[in-house]
Order: sequence, then structure tokens, then C-alpha cells
Amino acid sequence: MTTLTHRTVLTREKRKGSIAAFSGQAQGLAKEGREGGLVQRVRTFAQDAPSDLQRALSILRTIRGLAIVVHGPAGCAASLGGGFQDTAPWIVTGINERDSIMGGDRKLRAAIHQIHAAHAPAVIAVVATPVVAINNDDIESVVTEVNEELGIPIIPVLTDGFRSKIAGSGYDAVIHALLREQLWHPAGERGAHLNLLSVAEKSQDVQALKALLRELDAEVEVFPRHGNAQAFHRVPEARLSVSIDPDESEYAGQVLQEQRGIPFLSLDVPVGLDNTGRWLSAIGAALERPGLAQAVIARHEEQLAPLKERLARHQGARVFVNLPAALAFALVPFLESLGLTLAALEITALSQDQDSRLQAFAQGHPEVPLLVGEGQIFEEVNLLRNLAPDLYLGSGQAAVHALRLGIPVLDLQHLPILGYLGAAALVEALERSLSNTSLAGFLAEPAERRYAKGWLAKSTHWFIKHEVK
Amino acid sequence: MSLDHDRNTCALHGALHLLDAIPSVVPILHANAGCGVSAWNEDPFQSGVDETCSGSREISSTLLLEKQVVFGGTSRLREQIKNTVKVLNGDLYVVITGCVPEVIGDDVQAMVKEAREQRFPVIGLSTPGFKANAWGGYAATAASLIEQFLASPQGAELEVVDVNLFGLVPGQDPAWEGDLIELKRVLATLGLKANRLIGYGQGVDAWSRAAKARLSLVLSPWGLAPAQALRDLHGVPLLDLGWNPVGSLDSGLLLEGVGEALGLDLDRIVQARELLDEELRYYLRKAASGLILGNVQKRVAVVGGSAGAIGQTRFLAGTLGQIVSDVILTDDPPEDRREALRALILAVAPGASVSFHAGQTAIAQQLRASRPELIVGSALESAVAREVGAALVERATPLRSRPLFRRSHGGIAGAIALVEDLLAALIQQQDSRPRPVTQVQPHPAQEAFA
Repeated sequence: MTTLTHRTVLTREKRKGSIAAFSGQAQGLAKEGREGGLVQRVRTFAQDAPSDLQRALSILRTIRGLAIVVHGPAGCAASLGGGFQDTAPWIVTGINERDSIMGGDRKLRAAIHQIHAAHAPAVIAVVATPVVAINNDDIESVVTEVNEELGIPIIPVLTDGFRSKIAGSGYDAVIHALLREQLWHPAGERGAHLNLLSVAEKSQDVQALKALLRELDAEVEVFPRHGNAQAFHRVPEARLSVSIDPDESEYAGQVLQEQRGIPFLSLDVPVGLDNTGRWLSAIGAALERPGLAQAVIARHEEQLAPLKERLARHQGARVFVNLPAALAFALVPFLESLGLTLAALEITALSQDQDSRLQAFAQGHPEVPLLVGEGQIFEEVNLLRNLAPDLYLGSGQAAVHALRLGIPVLDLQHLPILGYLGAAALVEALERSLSNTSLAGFLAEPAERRYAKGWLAKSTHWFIKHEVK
Repeated sequence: MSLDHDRNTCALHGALHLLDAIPSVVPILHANAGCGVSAWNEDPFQSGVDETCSGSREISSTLLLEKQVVFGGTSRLREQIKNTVKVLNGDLYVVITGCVPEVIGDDVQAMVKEAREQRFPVIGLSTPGFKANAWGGYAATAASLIEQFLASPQGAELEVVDVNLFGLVPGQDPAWEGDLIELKRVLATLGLKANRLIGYGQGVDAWSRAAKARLSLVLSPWGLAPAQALRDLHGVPLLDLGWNPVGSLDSGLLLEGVGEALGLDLDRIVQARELLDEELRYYLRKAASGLILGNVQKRVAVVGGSAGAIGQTRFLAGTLGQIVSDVILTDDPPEDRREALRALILAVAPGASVSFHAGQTAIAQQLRASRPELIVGSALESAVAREVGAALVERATPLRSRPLFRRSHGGIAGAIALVEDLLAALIQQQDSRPRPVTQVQPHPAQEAFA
């Protein structure tokens, strides 16, 4: 169900029954999924993790032609800092204690004008923050007023930092805001292009998939991450929308399908040879070019040297995987095809609409430990210490805690992993990580230095409880 | 005032970085999700444009949800405190608050009191982001730590220290750890023991020792509040230097000030100053040929937090003979301190324009107008440096060109590092200029053979 007419998108918990906390065997969670309802749980001890605000900003900063106004205290925009060159221009209203009581409308108006004057963006996104959400600052009135003065789209992205336990709700907030703006206009003529829905992917991966799609003679519009705000008007005119991550891009695909009748191909993440082949086949079929797709697949598979041989020395190595759900469910079979063994799986969140993938996973790995959560390092330390895997595979976690347990870490945040080139790059990186583990060996120390013995002796699920409404 | 490409973040982040820099202190964040992890953005490979996840710093947090925003979050905080002491080892647990619990009026101190009654070493500090920037957050948190933690007598037998060091701000002063180590070395030339308080090998004991020190040294406007708290509560006198000395002249001034305050023998101070001068001269003589052949006497603009920017300016102008045209102080220091900061700069660079800006556009505008040949600033100045054809040496947060773990920007080591980086930036700039293409005329004899 989509709610494009509403100011805000529903949280992932409410919209698709997503959960952010579980610890147990895979078969236990699969049973809940089969019975029609993943159970909402909370942690009675927790460690900090990103909120919807950070996720929203992480997409917005990649959009060309867009400028960001963060309406809140200066720290709310901190994840945009760091001096990165290739980021969207941004400004923060920097509301202080007085504004938090009296409202920050004037500052917001001034900030929009300031960034417009400095950068002449095609679109300005005004991002709400927790204090503004509590005080109910009337962002929309300011936006409407300034919009008339400046004559460019100014879109409110209504994140708040506390309505959802799942940071990915921030992705939906951005998509909601961008599509509300685009779908306000009457439908144009259907184009020949397809939408490549990129929500959580790095630019190298998106470029690699675009290159594959060009081999299918497909014209591609990337939306929204790494997209171009000035070309977003073409998104509602596409002939097809294609997922990269079917979980993260589900909202964009569904809205475009419901509102403009654009078919949405929700496919397994194209990681590894089999998934990439299936991804290309499905798109080829939808574009009525099945023969061409098969030829592209065959050409690439032929060019790739046998990947499993690269890991011949590491057959049976046990890997702890910590990734977003759909990527993890697609990657595990690839890792296993290379001769690696799954020690445990951690996923950042799980939606009810990913149930078929969960069931397939649990069928093959009924007793594998499964952890659902993001940033809950104390649980990982508890689990990793008992499992002692040969490798920790994550993305953007900078899992120093695993190194400190003597476990080598391979982080995928800046490593291209999708498509055929990604498969080869991933195998190469796995081989390197497993072949020289001396840094982890040097940094290893007893977990008891930081974590209480009492906690380390407990079950990983100790602090996860059923949510009381 | 709105801040474009803000570099100073918020009070909560200042508090978190300070507590994170004190081993054995465990912060307990009472806030919604994201307030803690967003404080760490300085790793060059982390949270870039391609960010899909953010790292975790293992920060205990209540992760406030909507129901707590509506009905209050104190019981969630009680639960989090109780469980934090069961999960994370520490000597002191410090509850710090984000904006949300302050807005909704959670009674944090009541929860802290409860925990203390159970004999858990917990204190609670009010650190909402909207109260100040990260520099101000450091100042308030350090002062509150002294007021609350040192309120009760510290029983353990502690090493005696001479000088507490306050005012270098983790997360904002990029080389805070290296600078403190270097300052400790400089003070050791007078036989004094410095109390760094933060960084490797420190801990709550270092803060306990602070109450017994002979002097507190204030190295920036942000170090004054904790030094005053210590003076008022424990009678430790303070010396307000106000900047982070770079080079032997200013390091010598520091020794002189500290020596006088502690009543040390004047000859000993003079001797120590001479040793520092001699050390720096040795290395500058090594650098001198490069400085001469590279015609390194540039129009320089310095951009950064007060303590660092003033220290670098005074070394660049006062020792290295550079022509400092602009100094832009970005940390938004208190109004009543600004004239004194200006005077410190004008004393060595009388022609310099001194201004106070935190937003990138205002800073870029000033640099565009003055067109310096060298900018000593942050990665945020790289675009304008390219635009005006200036070389850039990064000395302020955020850094992109070189991660810092132990290197110093201050003292003798920092002065030498600055000269190295300055020469490297100028050489790199020279090498990256397109070389003129020379048309080689063929020799008539070659034509004959063609």
C-alpha cells in the first residue's frame, strides 16, 4: 500500500511489517514469517545506530542538481560533513535553544534563499529533524511561500529520528518527497527508457549495472541515488522500473506501478553470477529481448575465469555476514558456491515482503544463528566470540570490534560487488582477506576488556524483548 | 544564523568526542537514534558519498522512540543505565542528553540519582545539541565533569602532576592527541609533569589527579570553563594562554608563563627556551634550502579554530617569515574573547585581516577577495584554493588529505610538520602545473634524411 497523498510515508514497521530486532536460529524467524507476522521486539539495552535522518541525507547528497537544507540543530547535518568534494551543496539552519521553543521559520526561509543564491540548484530538499518534528515547525508553509518566490521545486523530506526503528524508513521519506513532486504533474508520454532504482548502492555498482543494461540496448534513468534531479521528470514516464535491492527500492517501484502503471521488476540483488544472470534474463524478457540477454550473459560468463579456484586454499572458511537483508540473502548462495561456509547471518532489518527470501534461506540454513539489528555491536561481540569465524563480511560498519576479537574484516562499502565485474572483484577481495590475517591477529584482545563477563556469558538474545504497545 | 557546510556540529558531539577520548569512561546517550554515530565523520573512507551504512562507535543509547517522546523517556533511561553497567566495563558512566529529552523535559538527574543510590558510578550532564557547537560542548562537558565527578573526594593514591592541559578539543582540533603529547614533552624540559587528561593512557584517574595539580593551562577559549571550575572547586590556579603554541618562540612563551606562575628559577626557564630554539633551528636549517629555492615567502591565509589558527599564524609570521594576509577563526568564540584573540594575531602579523566566520560561503568569499598563495585551513577550503590557485595545507577539521592518529600540529614537532607539509603542497602545486610545450624545430640535416 502506498500513501502518496499523505504528507509523510508510513514507517516500514507499519507499511510492511518490518522488524529491527531478533536473535535466534533462522528457522525460528522463518516460522514467524510463515505464520504471517514478524513479531515486533525492542532492545532493553541498545547501542546507537543511524536513524531515518542519516539515511535520507545519504541519498540526497548523491543527487546532482539538488541542494539540501537541514532544518534543525547543526549536529543533525553532521553526517554531511567530512569535507567530501563530490556532495550536494548543503546548509543547516542551526536552530538554537530559543528557536527550539519559538520556532525556526525565519531561519528556514533565510537558509533556502541563501543556498539558492549560492548554488542555483534545480531542486531544494528541506529535511526535517527531531526537534523540528516535536515542535511541529510549519515547514510546508515556508516551503510553499518560498517556492512561489524562487520558482523551483522545494520539497520537504519529513524525517524525525524517532518514529521508526528502521533507518531505511528515511530512504522511503526521500522517495516519497521526490515522487510526490514528480507525480503532481500530469502524466507525460511513455518513454523507451527504464528506471534503475538505486536506493542504497555505491556509484561503482550502479555504473556497472548501467553498463550491463546498455548491452541490452536499454536506455536507463537512475533514480534516486546517484540520479540527476533535472532528469527526474522522466521517471514517471519510464516503460519499466527495475530494482537493484528489491527491499530498499520496493516503495519507489510500488508507487510508480500504482500511480503510473509502470511495471516493477522486483528481482534478487544481482550479486554473483547466477543472480546477475537471472537479473539480466528478467529484464531482457520484459524488454522483449530475451535472446540478446542470453547472449550478454553467455559472453560475460565465458570471460570470467573460474572464480572458485581463486579460493581453493580457503574452502570451508567460515564467514559471518552482516548486510542489508536482500543483499545478504542473494550473496550467501554465491559465497557458498565459492566453497565458503556461513557461520552466522546478521541483517539490518527484515520486512514481511522479504518472507519468500527468508523461507528459502531458512530452509537451507535452519540452525544458523540469525541476528536482526543495526549497530548492536555488543550482540555481535557476544556471538562472534562464540563462533570465532574466519572472516567478518560487512558494509560500512568499519567492524573494528571484530578485528579486536582477532577476526579479519572485509568491508564492502567501497568495493564494487554487483554484476560480473563485481563478482570477480569480490572473490579477489575475499582471497586477500583470508590469505593474510595478520592485522586481526595483532589486534586481538580478550572481549572482557570492554564487555562485562556477565554479558559475554549470556545468550545473544538476552536484551531483546517483545514490544509492549 | 544558518551555516552552509557547517564544520562545528553541536554540543552533544563535542561532549561525545571528549568522553570517547577518556578511556574507562562510558557515555550513555539519552537521545533518538543517529545522534551518536553522526558525530564521527572524520574517517576518510567512512560515510562518503557512497555511504550505505554508518559505523557504530559502540555507544550505549536509549534510542528514543515516538512513545517515549510522547510519554517521556525517563523509564527507558532507567532501563538503559541499569543494563549499561551490566554490559560495558567502565570506571565512570556519564549520561549525556540529546535535544529530544531536553525538549520533552525528561528528569535525567532523578534517574542518575537512583543509579548512584545503587552505588553505580554514574553522573548526568545536560548536553543538548542546540545549546552550543561542539567546541562549546567540550567546554561545558569538561567543566561539568569536574563539578560532578570531582565533587566527591578521590580516595586512591595518585601520581602528583604539575600542569593540567585544557582546551584542545577532540573531534574539532584534528591533532589534539599529538599536540598534547608534544606539549607534555615541552613542559618536561622544565622538569614539569603535564596532565593530558584525554587520550592514550589517560582515564578517570587523570581527572582525579587534576584536582591536586599546581596549575591549569588554558590552550583555547574552550579550555577556560573547566579550568575555572577546577580553580573554584579545588583552588587550582589557572594560566590562560589562549592558543596552542607552534614553534619554539611560542613554546618558550608558554614555558615562561608556566615557570613564572609556578615560581621557577628564571635561569632554568631561559635555558629551556634556548634548548627549544636550538632544536627547531636545527630542523629549519635542513629545510632552509627548500625554502630559499622555492621562494617560500607566500601570502598566506589561515582558517581554523582559534587555538590552532592563532598558533599556526604566529609561527608562520613570527618565525617562518610568511606574509599572513588573512586569519579566519571558525569556532565562533565568545564575543568577549575576540579582541584578545585578534591582538594575539596582530602582534606578529600586523597587516593581517582577522575575521570570524563559520559558514563555507563567507570564508570562500573572503579568500576569493584576498587571493592568498597558500591557505592553511581545512578540506572545506580545497575548492576555493583551486579556484584562486593557492596551495592548501590542511590543519583544521575536516581533514581529507591525511588521517591523523598521533602526529602533532603544535610545539616543535608541529612546526616542523607544518614546514614539511607546506613545502610538499607547494611542490605538488608546481608539479601539477601544465608544462609549456616547446616546439622543436627539426635540424636541417634531419630534414635532408627524411
